[in-house]
Amino acid sequence: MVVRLLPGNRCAVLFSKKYLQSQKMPHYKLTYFDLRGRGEPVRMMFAIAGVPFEDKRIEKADWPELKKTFPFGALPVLEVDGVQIGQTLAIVRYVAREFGFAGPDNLTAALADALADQFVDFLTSTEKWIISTAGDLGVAASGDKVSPSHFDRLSLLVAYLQDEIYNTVYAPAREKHFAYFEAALAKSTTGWYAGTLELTHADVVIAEFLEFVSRLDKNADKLFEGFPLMEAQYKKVYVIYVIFFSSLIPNCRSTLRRDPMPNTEKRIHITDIFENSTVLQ
Amino acid sequence: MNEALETMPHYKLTYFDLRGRGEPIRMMFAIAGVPFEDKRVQLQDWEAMAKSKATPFDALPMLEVDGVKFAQTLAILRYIARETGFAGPDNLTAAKADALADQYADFVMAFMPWHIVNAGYAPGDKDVLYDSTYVPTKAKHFPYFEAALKMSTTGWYADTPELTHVDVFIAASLEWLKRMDKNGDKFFDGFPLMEAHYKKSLTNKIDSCWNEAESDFLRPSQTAKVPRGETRCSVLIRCLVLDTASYSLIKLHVV
Repeated sequence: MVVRLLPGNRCAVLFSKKYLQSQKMPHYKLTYFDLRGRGEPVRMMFAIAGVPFEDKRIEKADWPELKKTFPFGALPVLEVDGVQIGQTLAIVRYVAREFGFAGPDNLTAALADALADQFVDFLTSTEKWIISTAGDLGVAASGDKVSPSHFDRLSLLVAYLQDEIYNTVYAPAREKHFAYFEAALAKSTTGWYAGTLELTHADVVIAEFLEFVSRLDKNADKLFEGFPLMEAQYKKVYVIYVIFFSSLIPNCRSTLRRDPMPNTEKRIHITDIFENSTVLQ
Repeated sequence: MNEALETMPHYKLTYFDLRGRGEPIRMMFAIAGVPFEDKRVQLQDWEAMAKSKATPFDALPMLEVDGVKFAQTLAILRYIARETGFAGPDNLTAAKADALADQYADFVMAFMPWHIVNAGYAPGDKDVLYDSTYVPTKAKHFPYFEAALKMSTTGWYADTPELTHVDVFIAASLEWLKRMDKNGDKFFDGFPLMEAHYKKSLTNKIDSCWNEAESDFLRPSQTAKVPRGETRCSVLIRCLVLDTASYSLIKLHVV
């Protein structure tokens, strides 16, 4: 490693090939369920960065004993040479920064962080709808039971109120929040959320979670109606980045695995929620 | 020194005239010794401000850096920490800190149904919600933080030699929560490491100064700008016990 002083009080650090080869990459191990869910943004981030990682998928049945081995009793968890990092967004941010996908400076990274956090806020505000549509998938990542006070059990006994939840919880939240993302894209000159030349973790997280929402939304074909810039960004992430980059990386098929979510093939029945769900007991 | 001040961007934090979600950010600026414009919006003016689309996500706190606006408490806190060198020595430590801060934010989301009733923002029975929502949520999440401190050799959450943004965030948020918890005197029972960390971050003087304000949720913050040359510990102790008279004196001394 050689340090050279340049005019203008700048300095350059030059690395020899021998030095670079001697720097070993840490071992990355991602643990999550055998689903896309909250693990997929992390897998996509590794795939786009071209970094090999151990993609550990655990069965739901094994979860209760494994739960206590993780720092926050929840998945996904990334292990970097044994150091455990919980929390989806913290992991995604780490991977993005390590491999240069967090934008050129701190301010751009902060803009990306803010947008990713805002999308998670959107999902939190539609939690009632996610749980009523997907059964226990909404809390599958933590394996926790949702307390009955979370939503009114009685109202779910009437089937048509599932539509009611869609109209009162999901639809207004979508109108409200999608406007923020559309505005962010309108301000960006590049079509990526943080105004960067290349995609950032915000683009990956938002696209993946939009994909999740699209599988739950009964009007998924009209998901982006009124939000053309969001649709363009979503297509850009999937068509260009995931397919192109992942085809270059071996063992990357996991990124494109279409794990079917429970109950998306048919409309969920009320009895299914009570009988098959681990949430409502 | 003057050159450094000239090249530093202008930071403007907009939040309500409360501690709440803005306090960790104000504390972070104070600890870092970075001057900032502390804009406080009164609750009655908020609706007009939101309608005028002055904020990107219709929410506060919001930071403006040389005209670039963004929101989300933790995004702002992380940005300031990284800019001022309080995010830990490397990416992995910063990720550990981020994970704990995100987990604390999850904890806050989980007891939110109790908080909005307890603070009078929504109708409901606050005592029932205290037992059904707040107590189990606290019992579930506090062990995670206690375990993180147990693993740390330095007493700071991310096992750093100095405090990071997660220490500021958790300490400030716990201070607010402890005041709202009706059993605040037993707040840290069973979690000695958390109590030690809390005291390390915020001095004991906090309790004696603010006892009379325990029931006053809307008591405004008293963090102030910090004169240069102060050590971080003295800054933290001093800025948290200032009254308004001292605040105006300090303003004159800011370099």
